[in-house]
Amino acid sequence: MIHHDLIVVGGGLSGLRAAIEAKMAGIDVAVLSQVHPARSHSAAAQGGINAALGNHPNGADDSWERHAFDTTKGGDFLGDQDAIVQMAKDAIPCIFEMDHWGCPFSRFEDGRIAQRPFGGAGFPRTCYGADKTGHYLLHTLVEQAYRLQVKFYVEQYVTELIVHEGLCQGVVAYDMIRGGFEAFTANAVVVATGGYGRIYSNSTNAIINTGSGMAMAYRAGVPLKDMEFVQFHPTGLRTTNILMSEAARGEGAYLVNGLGERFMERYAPKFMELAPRDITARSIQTEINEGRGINGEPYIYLDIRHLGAEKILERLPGIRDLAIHFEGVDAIEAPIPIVPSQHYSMGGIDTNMNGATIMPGLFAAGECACVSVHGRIGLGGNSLLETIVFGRRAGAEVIRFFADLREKRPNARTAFAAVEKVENTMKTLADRPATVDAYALRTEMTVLMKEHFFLFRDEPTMKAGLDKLADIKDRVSKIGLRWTGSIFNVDMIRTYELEGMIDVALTVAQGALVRQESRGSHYRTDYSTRDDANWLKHTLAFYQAGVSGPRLDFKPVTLGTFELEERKY
Amino acid sequence: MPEAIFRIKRHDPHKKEEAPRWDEFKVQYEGENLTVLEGLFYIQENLDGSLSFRYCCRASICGSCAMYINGAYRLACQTNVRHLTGNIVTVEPMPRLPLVKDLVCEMDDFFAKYEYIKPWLIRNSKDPDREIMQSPADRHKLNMPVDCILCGCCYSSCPSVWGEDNYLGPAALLKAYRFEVDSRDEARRERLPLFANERGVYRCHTIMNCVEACPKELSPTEGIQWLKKAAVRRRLFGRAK
Amino acid sequence: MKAEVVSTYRGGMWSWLFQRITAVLLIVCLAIHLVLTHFANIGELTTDNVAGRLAHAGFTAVDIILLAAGIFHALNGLRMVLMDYWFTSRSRAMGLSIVLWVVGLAAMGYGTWALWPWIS
Repeated sequence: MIHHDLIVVGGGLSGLRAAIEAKMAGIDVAVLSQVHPARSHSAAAQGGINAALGNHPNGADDSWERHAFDTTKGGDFLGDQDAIVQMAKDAIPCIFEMDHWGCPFSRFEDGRIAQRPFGGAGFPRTCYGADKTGHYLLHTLVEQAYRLQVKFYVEQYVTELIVHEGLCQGVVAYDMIRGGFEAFTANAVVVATGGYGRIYSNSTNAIINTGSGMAMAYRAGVPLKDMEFVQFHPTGLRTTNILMSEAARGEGAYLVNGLGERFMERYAPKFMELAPRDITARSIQTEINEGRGINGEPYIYLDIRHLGAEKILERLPGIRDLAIHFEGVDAIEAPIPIVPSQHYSMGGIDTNMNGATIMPGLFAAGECACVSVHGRIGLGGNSLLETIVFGRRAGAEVIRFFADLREKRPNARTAFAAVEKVENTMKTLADRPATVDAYALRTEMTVLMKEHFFLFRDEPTMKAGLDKLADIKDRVSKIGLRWTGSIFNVDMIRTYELEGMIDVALTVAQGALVRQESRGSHYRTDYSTRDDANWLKHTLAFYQAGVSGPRLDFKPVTLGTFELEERKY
Repeated sequence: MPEAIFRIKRHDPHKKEEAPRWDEFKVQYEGENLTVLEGLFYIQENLDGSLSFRYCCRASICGSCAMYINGAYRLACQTNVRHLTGNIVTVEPMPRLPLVKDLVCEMDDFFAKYEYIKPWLIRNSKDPDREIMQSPADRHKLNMPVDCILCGCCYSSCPSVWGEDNYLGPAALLKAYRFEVDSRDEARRERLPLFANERGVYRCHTIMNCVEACPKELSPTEGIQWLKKAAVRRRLFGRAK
Repeated sequence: MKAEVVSTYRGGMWSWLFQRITAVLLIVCLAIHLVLTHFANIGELTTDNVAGRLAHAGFTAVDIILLAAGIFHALNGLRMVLMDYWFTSRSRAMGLSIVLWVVGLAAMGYGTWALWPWIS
């Protein structure tokens, strides 16, 4: 048993930022991560991070109020406005702080941080470092964590929260390098494990983004909020769904269909390619569905050739490399074939503005949490911002939580019991003759999510999908391990995480079926308008043991700063 | 369906009685592309569940899946089987690093050395209220070193590392260069003694294996040479950079 | 970390810098030396004539520099190679350096002694 005052699960941007905040206040903090923190999926973010710095010549009138408004409208008014305002305000000092820590942002001629236009934003306010902003931000935070000597436990796969009398007191983790399970006790746990992209077969996300943190919290009784809102990115590579950054369109790329038209003028004449992601993604899918893909095939082109080699190499070197390696296309010479792909999880563990959940001692931040700033469609550049702003706020909240905490000794018996429980689960998986193939089941589930809960949703399709999911959930109790070794057992992790993925998928499916309106990324062909009278509220999904799906509840949205208006671009 | 043959070096050093062995697998795939990483997943899912390898982003940005494939350092996720000569894909862990299992190497030393050179921006003056100004020309100097993904290919390929356990290696020194060359960094002589010695930059004999190995096509050697000159500039001429 | 952290390690800059300086000196002085011995017209190749050339101050200076640069460059290069393979610990590396300095100074002394008759 290992004890630290604060355990952060996940070494991405939000986890590291929370850890750094706590460490700077002198708290004994450890980060547990399935991969080395520098390998976290935050690194794959490309385009940029929003803050109303007003550095761009066209952005001199920009302000955090405008940033907050764009975010609220982009989120179709389902974001909590107090949190949005806070995020827009915090954005500015947070970006400067990242700069002071050495983040290599690109620069304007006058030496200030460069900003570029992004979808759904009234001003160019997306700060960037070429098209590798996430990579740069992540490495900067990793470096700061090393500077502050934050303790890293690398390649620890966290399987379970330790909950003692309603208090979160640590986690159980599988040590991939040395083998075996270990209890890490703590007075508080910050979950920052990222999104659940991999429940879709066509995700831009890393292979480790399976929503494991969400599943852990969900099973421990913490509700998941607004899970039906899944962001689909307009431009993922055709075969691999690897992200082609919105930065490409920010720099002026065209979307072109099989007839050679810039079809966005039919859908968003004002914003064209820079309409918010949900609208762009649906427009692309409509083109594809109506047979106007390239040669009638289900994909279209992202064309950046007209930007010229020099600008591409300066501003978009990363996506050019990706297109060369994964699609065999040099973007300087040929258009890039793309399809809309699952990209971001707007929903997540229900937290307040400070990252606190309903369970004392359990905090969440980043993509795995749902503070509800994105509302129903994350604007590009806001997700990176969310990780840093709310990572920091979660860290600060932990400091306050510790100041009020009287009992500072986690219960050892509960911790050992939790380890035993996980060991027993693994033993069951190991001993059970696998009558169902875990990987076939995983593929079945991910393909099902893509087919039934993608861009266009309707009741019959979703009902059928939900039935199939329930069936998959039944069959998951028949899977087993192929290999039972203790060192770096990839099979064990991937088999174990499947059930959590299915639980998360069920919350997405259930929420989508219940919400009878179209709002942001959740678009229903049978209820194609927004319904503020009935549905201006958050969905909460509670875990129910023994039943396949969640119990749903609702929660009001915090309004008051901005008037509701129709979302048009 | 097209088929590729994977020859994978397998070894579990925890099982002392077992010698390293080569396993052969037939991997079937659809369409035109199969990356080595996809092939490894196919094997792990369908043919041999005990195969161990690192994976994460599958988009060549996280640096997890660096391996020795067909005699060259590559990222498994970035390597298309079709682009390799012949239909046989030989996969080994990165040579000369301690092994955890199969294709997974121990990276503890690698990161200890990374930490040792103080890989963070060192500032002595008070930070301004806004960003620290940096000209595009100064920012341009960072283009190469900031793209490092810490995959370890250069470290594994460097003969100076093979000969000397304590040599910091190309990746850590490239990171030192990344900060030393940054116009915002004020380390002056704080980081200097850590890399300007014979366990640091002077152990580099410009063999350039690292340049050839780097899957991101960076040049650690260039950074190391810059550091050697920077040490002279600072010690002899008292310059800040 | 298996590898010990070597915060005590200092130096290396001079050795690196002089290896480069001596390299340049070697190229220059060797060129002068070869040109003078092969192409400079000293008349008939007799002992007296060769001794006369050696007695020339400029020629002697070039030879002394060539000798010093050559010894340093060679031994320092040898030191590098040996350190890569055998003399990895700090104490052994120090020992190696001392031995090589002794050898180098001896060689320098012997060389200078050999040239001495023409210098004085």
